[in-house]
Amino acid sequence: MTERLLDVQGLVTEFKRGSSQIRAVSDVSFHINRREVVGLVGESGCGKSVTSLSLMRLLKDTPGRISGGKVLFEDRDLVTLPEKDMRNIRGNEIAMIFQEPMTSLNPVLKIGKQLEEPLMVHLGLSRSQAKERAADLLRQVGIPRAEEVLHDYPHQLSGGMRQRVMIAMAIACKPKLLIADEPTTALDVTIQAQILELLRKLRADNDMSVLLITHDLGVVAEMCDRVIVMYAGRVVEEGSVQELFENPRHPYTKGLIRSVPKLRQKVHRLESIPGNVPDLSQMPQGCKFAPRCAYATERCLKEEPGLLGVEGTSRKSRCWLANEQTWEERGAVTDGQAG
Amino acid sequence: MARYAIQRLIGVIPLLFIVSIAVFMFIHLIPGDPARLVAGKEATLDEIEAIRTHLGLDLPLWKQYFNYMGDLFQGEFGTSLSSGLPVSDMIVSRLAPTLWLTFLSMGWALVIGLLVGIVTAVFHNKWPDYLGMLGAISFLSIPGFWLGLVLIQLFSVELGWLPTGGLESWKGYILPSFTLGSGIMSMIARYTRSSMLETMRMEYVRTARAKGLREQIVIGRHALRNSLIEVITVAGLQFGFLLGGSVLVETVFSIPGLGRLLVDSINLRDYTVIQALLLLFALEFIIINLIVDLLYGVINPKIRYSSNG
Amino acid sequence: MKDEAVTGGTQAVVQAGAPTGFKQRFGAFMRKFVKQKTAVVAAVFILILLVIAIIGPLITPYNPSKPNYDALMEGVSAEHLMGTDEYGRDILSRIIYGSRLSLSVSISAVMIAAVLGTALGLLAGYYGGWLDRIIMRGSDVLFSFPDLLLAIGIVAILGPGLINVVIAVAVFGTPSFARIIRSVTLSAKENLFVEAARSMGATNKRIIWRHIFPETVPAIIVNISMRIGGAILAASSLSFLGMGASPSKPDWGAMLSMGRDYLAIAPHIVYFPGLVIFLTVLAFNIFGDGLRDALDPKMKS
Repeated sequence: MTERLLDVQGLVTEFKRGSSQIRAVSDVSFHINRREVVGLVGESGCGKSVTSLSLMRLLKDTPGRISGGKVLFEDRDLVTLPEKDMRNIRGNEIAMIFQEPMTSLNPVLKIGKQLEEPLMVHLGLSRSQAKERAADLLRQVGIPRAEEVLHDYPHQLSGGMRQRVMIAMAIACKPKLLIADEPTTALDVTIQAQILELLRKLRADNDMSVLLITHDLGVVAEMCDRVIVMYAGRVVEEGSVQELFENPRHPYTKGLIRSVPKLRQKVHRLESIPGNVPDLSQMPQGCKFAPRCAYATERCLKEEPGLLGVEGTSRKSRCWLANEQTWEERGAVTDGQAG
Repeated sequence: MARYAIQRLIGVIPLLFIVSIAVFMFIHLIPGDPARLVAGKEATLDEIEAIRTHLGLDLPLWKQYFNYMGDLFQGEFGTSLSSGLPVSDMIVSRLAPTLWLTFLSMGWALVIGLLVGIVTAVFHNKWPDYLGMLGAISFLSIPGFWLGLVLIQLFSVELGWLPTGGLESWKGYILPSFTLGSGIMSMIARYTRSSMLETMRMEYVRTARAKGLREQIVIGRHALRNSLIEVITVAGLQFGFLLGGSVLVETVFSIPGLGRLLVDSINLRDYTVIQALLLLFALEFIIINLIVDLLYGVINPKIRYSSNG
Repeated sequence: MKDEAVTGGTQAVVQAGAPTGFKQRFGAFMRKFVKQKTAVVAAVFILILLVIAIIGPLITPYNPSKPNYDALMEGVSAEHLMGTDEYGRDILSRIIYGSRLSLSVSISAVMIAAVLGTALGLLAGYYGGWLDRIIMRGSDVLFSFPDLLLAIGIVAILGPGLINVVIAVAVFGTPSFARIIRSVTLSAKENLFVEAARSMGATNKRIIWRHIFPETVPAIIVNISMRIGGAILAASSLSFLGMGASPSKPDWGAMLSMGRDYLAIAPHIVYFPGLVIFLTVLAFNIFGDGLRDALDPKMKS
């Protein structure tokens, strides 16, 4: 049994906008090991959600299509898998939870019914067996009055409870990989902590890997073993949480970390990364982050770096300066438009 | 739910009132002296006066209205001017065909309309979509009486499969109900299509797919069930228009229903019958809308189980 | 006059904050409209129909009312492109004459409904209060009756004849205009330039006429185009039932009603007028749909 549960190699996903194709995900590669929690970080629009949808091949009702690369899940390539087999994997071996629990649950079906579905379809349970399991699952995710909640409709539950139900639905068939797309973003801060705690517990109990997609570095610091940073549809840095936070090897990561105010430090001014994320249809030549980068060199503006290894570690960074010890601040930062 | 129901019920009462007044005023709106109209062209002055007192037309209006409402509540609709029969009897004898016709038409409309709506939504922007929508807008544009006649020509005269009219057998209901349902069929198809297109984009559909369910279940159980709620309510509201169309269809297919009765009465200037029928139709319309509203409250879980009752 | 002087200034202020000029909006609308090919085809058809209605009667080969007992109920032929009816009259000529009738009846009925409904809607939306409630209650009552039934009821009161058909169709069309214009008025009332105008001392009448009414125009146009089809159907239905035009007139619905008796032996008498009604209504419906999509896709209800 390989250690690598999921191996994404050169994934490319394109979206049709008008008559042209736009690359939302451009040559993305990363892997997830068993029992690992990997964080996928980036600002909105960087392609992290599209990546996750591509992994599950859930692009059906969007103008997006996977146009290249491989997604190896335990030696099977999900990209070329027939739809029938992909269906067996969804909800069963790989499960996904989404950001907005209210709109992600069907408003006209009872909670119990929605929970029973994957159980009956994938595990072949009978209606009564599925009902029992469903109640169990609700208890597992910390919902006290499980039997009653089974008969409720989504709008009768609070936001936190709905997210717990989503999680219950996802782990119902004990998946090997759980993809969580911004699971706590829409929740109150106190509930956030509870949900994260729940995810941690479930991960340990069920021995599963988690791909946690978020823009919140705090969540990453708390939950993840390894982190992948994305920008403009590309992976720009990869490494363990510790290494990344202590010593970021990509200016974008550095900027992200700096922009989070730390409680004990006296902060004079909140730092932000100047400029805007480029429009995917009008990407600058060379490094995509260069126009906003304080350390950009001539080479950075002209040539796009590959994902370079950082010497002495298993880390990677898409930056010409990845292996430099010190970074010089060069000149004024442009307003985000490529020269 | 209870509050919702009570609100609806209360809202209907003033409407019923006003409608009853409107229909009551009907005979007084006709240019000319009501008593003379009722008595007929050849009546003598004495006869006209006799009728005036008999029908209470010499009383002040509000008193007449009172009596009118009183009679209504006792089920007394007056006497037909042309046949002399009690209007209530005439209505009762022709109620069944019209009701059957209406329900069968709704049946056609729902079955075909939903089917076309779902198929066009699932095959959005491909040829089944274009075909279906073209068919829908065509059916909306076809004059009902023409469609009926064309169908008669085709299926009765040429092919001889179905009768040309009348209700000797159950077959006599097929063509008229299809004709009557044709307009609503297209409305349901169009509405289903747009509703499905919306629901299919909803996130819970994505969740359903993420659970690994088959596409038919995703569309059938998750998307459709949400759309169905709206569609059924809209369809229910169209019921009233079936009443209007029944006038045409019953005429074309020679069906002895309430619609035909209305047309005949108008041609015969039988005002008591006309008045009673108009009231009946309006009442039916209002009641059906009320039922549909209440039904919506029942099948939409958000209203049925809302925390504020 | 004081009013003019004050509101002349209002004009300038208001113009600055008013939405984009007429020319730009019209251009954008035309571009969107032309994209829908079926709607354009429908528009062309309608144009041709209007032309035929206007000049047609001058160029018809046959007299639509003169019977010709030598050519009773003849089928399609070179001399009679649509055959002849039970009196030997050329059907094509009758249909051309009838187009004038049908189009004028339905268009005028819808126009009357538009004028009345818009006036009521503007008043109800702008002034609110008891006026609003009365108007809305009134339209509710009218809405309580199914379309055709209401029309039949009105004709029952007034008696048969084309003028009464126009009145009937206008009456049952008014509430829908009132409702739509009222809601547009309500949202237009919120607009900033109305506030600006009012603070400059513009009278209510001026505000309604100069500022709110123009906002309602797209909705009016769309609703008109969408209701003409229904008006044609209603008018021809009434004629079919014998409540509209007198049977001698070449009204399309009446032609069908007359031809019904001869369905088995001369179906073309029924086919052609009905086909023409169908195509005309279809064209107006497609055109109306296209218009609505081009003017404001959000109006799809």
